[in-house]
Amino acid sequence: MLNKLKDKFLFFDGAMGTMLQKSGLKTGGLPEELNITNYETILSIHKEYLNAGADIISANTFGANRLKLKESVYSAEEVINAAVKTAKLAADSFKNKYVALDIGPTGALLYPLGTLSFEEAYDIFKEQVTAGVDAGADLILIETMTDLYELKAAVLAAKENSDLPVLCTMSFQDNGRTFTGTDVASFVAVAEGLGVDVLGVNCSLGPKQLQPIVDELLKFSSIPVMVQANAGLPRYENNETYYDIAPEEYSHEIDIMAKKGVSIFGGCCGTTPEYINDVISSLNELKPLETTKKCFTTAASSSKTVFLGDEVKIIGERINPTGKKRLKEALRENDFDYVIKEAIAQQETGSDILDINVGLPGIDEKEIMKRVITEVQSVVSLPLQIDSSNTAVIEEAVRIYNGKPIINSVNGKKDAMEKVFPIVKKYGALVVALTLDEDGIPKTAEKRLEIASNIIETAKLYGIPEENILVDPLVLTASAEQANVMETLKAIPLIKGKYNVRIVLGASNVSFGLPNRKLLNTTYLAMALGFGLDVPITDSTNEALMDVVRSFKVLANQDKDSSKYIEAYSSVVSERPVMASEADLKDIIIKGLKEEAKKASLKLLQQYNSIEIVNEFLIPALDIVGERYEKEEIFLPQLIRSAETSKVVFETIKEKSLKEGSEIIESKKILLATVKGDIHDIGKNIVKLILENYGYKIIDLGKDVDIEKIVETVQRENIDLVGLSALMTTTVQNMEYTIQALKEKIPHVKVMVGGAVLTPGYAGKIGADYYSKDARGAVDIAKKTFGE
Amino acid sequence: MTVRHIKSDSVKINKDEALKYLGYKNRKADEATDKLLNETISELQEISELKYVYRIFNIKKENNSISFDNIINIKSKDIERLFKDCEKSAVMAATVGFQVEKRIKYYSMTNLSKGVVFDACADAFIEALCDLAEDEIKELAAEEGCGITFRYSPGYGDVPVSHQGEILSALNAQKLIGLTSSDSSILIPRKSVTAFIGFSKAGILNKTNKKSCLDCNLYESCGYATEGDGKCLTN
Repeated sequence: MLNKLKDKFLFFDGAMGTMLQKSGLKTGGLPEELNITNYETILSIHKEYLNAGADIISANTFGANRLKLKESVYSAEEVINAAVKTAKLAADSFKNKYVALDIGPTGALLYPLGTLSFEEAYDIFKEQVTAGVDAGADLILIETMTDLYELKAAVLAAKENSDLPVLCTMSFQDNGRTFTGTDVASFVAVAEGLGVDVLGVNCSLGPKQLQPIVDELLKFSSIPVMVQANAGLPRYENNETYYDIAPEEYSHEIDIMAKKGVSIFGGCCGTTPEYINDVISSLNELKPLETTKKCFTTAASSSKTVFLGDEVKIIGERINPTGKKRLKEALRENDFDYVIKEAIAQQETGSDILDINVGLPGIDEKEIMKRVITEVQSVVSLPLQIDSSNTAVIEEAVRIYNGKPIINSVNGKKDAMEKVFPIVKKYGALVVALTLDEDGIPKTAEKRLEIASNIIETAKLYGIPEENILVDPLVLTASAEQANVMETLKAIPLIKGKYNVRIVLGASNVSFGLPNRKLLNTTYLAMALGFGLDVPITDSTNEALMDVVRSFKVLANQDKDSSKYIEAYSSVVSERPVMASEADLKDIIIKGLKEEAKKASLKLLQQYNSIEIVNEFLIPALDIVGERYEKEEIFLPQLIRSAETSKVVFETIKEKSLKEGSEIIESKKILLATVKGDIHDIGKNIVKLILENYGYKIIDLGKDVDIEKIVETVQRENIDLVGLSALMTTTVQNMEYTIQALKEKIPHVKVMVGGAVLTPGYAGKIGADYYSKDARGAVDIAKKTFGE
Repeated sequence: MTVRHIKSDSVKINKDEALKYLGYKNRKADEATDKLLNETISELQEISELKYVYRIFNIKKENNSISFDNIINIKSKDIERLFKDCEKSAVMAATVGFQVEKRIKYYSMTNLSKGVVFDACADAFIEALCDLAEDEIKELAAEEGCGITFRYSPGYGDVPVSHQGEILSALNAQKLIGLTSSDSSILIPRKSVTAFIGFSKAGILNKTNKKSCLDCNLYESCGYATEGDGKCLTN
C-alpha cells in the first residue's frame, strides 16, 4: 500500500465523531460501543468516506481500550472485532481500499507524570493490536498522541505483535509542543528510531496553524509525513460544536503542504466527506515529492533533542560509581535523591547528555538502572546514555527509556556486535563504538580506523545507519604508553574523513599516574577538540574542563558572536567572603543561609568531631527554628530553608567521614512513602527533610508505592517506624490497606500518617498508631517511638 | 464546548493568596520569601500553558440524583441543594499545564523551600484562571437572565472525586486541554480544577454568598477554613 506513494497521494477518511453528531446519535457514552449497538450507522459513514475517495478508512476503535471501556458491557476485543469487521465490510464493496486499526491514547498518563506503568500501557495496546490483527486490519494508525512515552509503548506493542505497517501522529499546540512538552524533533527522532512507516500530525489545530509544525516534520523526517488537520478551530453555538474553515480553504492549505512534501492526508475533528473529496480533487494534478534521508545524529528525551556534530556537546560522566564512594553508597541504599541531584548538577553546569552507569557488585543492576532512568527523567530533561557491560541491562533500560538513547557501548568483537546491534536497531538508539577488538586496543591510528570501519559496515548489515554511530578512538594513559598517545587523536580525522560518524572520547584517563592531572586533562581535551572530537565524555562540574570547551567553541566559530562565552565570563565576580566563625553555624541555620553552610561546617570540622557539631550547633539551632515556627514567628518556606541549610551541614559531615573512612553517625531508620494511587509528595518530602535534620535515616520509597513493596522493605531493613502520606479520600483507602498489611506481617511496627484529608479520629479508625498534622509533629512521634 | 487558551500574563497571581496557602494567614512575607515569591510568579507566567474548557448542560433532578443531559450523573444532596433554582449548569475544567508540574518536581528536588512556594503560587494561579472562566460563564448566564452559583468541585461535600473521569470525558478534556485523571481520580497535571457552576434563576449571587466551609467534608482537618473566605486547596 505504502509503495503507491511514489505515484499518488494516499487519503484517509475524515472525522467519525463529527459524522456521528450529524447522524443525530447522542454524544453521551462511548462512541466505540456504537460498533455493536448501531453498526449500520458506522457502516454508512465509512461508505460515505469511501465514496468521497478515501483510500484508507479508520475503524471506529480510537478509544477501544480496556481503560476507557472499564464501565462498558463490551470488552475491547469485542468492540475492535466489530469495528474492524464493519470497516472491512464497507471497504470490500470498493476496490483497493484499506482498513486501519485506529489507536488513540489510553486516557491515563504514564508514570512518572501519572500512575500508569509503561508495562501496563504496553499490555493495553497489545490487546488492541492483537484484536485488530485477528479481525483483519490492514494497517495500524496510532494517533492524537500527546505523550511520547505512551506513543513508544503503543509502537512497540504494534511492532512486536503484528507485521502491519505502523503510522503514527501526535497533536501539537501552537507553541510547537504537545501538552506534555514533546517537540517535533524529539517525536521524529523517537518514532523514526522505533521503525514506524509514516509519521505526522493530527487534530488540535486547523491546517493553517499546522503549517509551521509540518515544516519542522519535513525538516527532520526521513520517512513519509502525514497530516490530519481539524477543520479549523472549534466554535460553540446552541449546544453544538462547529468548525470555522470551509472545505475550499481547507484544501488550499493542504495543497501548500503537498507541495512542501507531505504525502498522506486525512481529516480530523470537524471534517466530513465533503472536505476529503475537495482535498482529493484539489491535489489531482500533483504528485508526492520523494522522501529524502536527513542523516542527523540525534539523541533525545521526550522534550529535548540534542544534535551531535555541528557544535561540541558534552556527555556528563558523573553518574558512574567507579571510584566514587558516596555514589556507591547511594546506589546500594536506593538513595535516588542523591543520584538525581548529581544529574541536576551536571545539567546546570552545561552537560548536554548524561551517562548512566550503575554497575556495582552485589546490586540488581537491571532494577537499579531502570529506577535511576525513570527518576532522573522525571526531573532532568537531558537525553541519557545507557552505560552497561551487560546486554540484558541495556535492553531493559533502552526499552523503558523515554526518548532516543545512546547505548554505551559496542566494540569490534564479533560477539559484542551480535549482541548489541539488534538492540540498537530495534529501539533506534545511537551507539558508542569502541575501537578495540579481539586483539585488544590497537597501537596505531590506522588500525583504529580499520576497526571502526568493520563496526560501521557490520552495523549497516543490521540496518543501522552511519549517523547513528559514535566512534570512541580510546584514549591511552600518557604515563604508560606515551609514544602512542597521539595515535588516538590522529585517528579522529581519519575516521571522520571516511564516514559520516561523530567522535566521542572519555579523556581523563590520559593523565592517570602523573601529577597535576588537571593540567594534562585540559591540554589533552583542547588538543582532541582541535583534532575534531565532537562529544567529550567529561565532568561538566569541573570548571577547568568547561573553560576549555567554552573557549574552544569561540575559536571554532561554534559559539556565534561569543555570546555564551560572554554570558559565562563577563560577570565573573570574586566570591563573597564568608565570615564563618564557629559561632555562626547556628545563626546560618536559623537564618537559612544555605550557600554558607558548607564552608562554615568544614571550618568547624577542624575543631570539633561530627557528633559535637550535631549536638552543640545543629540540634540547638533547629530547636530554635522549630519553636519560632510553632509560635508563628516564621513560616513554612523559612522553616524549610533552615532545614535545607542544616542538611548541607549533614552532607558535609557525611562526605568527610566517607573520605576518611571514619564511622558515620549510626541513626534510626524511618520509612516514608506516599501510598499506592497517590502522587502528592511535597508534604512527604518536607517531613523527610525535617526528620533527616534530627539525624533519622529516611528510607524514602517515593510516591504511588505498592503495599507489598512497603511491607517487604520494612521487613528487610528492620524498620520500627513507618510514615505514610495520602491526600485524597480515594487513596486513604490504600493507606488503610497498607496499615493492615503491615500490622499483619510485622505487628510491632508503628505507623504514623498525615495528609490533608486525615483527622486524628480518622487516622485511628484506619489503624494508624499516630497522626501528625505537620513535619514537626513527625519529629515528636519519632522521638517517642525511639524512646528519646 | 468552548475552549480557551489564555495568555499567562493576562491572569494575575495573587501573592496574598499564595501566602495564605503557605500558612502566613494575614501576615507579611519575610524578605527572602518575598523575593522567592516574585521570582516564582514571573517564572510561572513564563512556563504556564493556561487552558480551560466548559460546556453547558441542561440539568434534571430526580431521586436524589442530578443528570447533566444524561451524560454526567451525580448522586448528591449538596448539589441538589445548590442547584435548587437551576435548570442549567456549566461544567468546566481548567489547567495550568504540564510544565508547571515538572517545575514543581524539579524544585522540590533542588530547592524545597522554592518548591513549596512554587506549589502555592501554582494553586493561586489555577484559582485565578478558574475565576476567569467563571466570569465568562457568568456572562452567558446573565444573557439568559440568570445568576450563577459558586463553583462546586468533585471532592467538596458529598460529591465524590471519582466523578472526575466522567466529567473529563464529557468535556473531551484530554484532547482539548490535555487534562486526564488517574485511577484514584487525581487530576493530571495536578494544578487543574473541574467544577460545576449552576445558572441560577434566583438571580445574581453576591460575593459573600460563597460556599460555607461547614458544608465541606474536610472541615475538621482544613487549615484554611478558619481564615475567612473559605477558599481551600484540596482537590
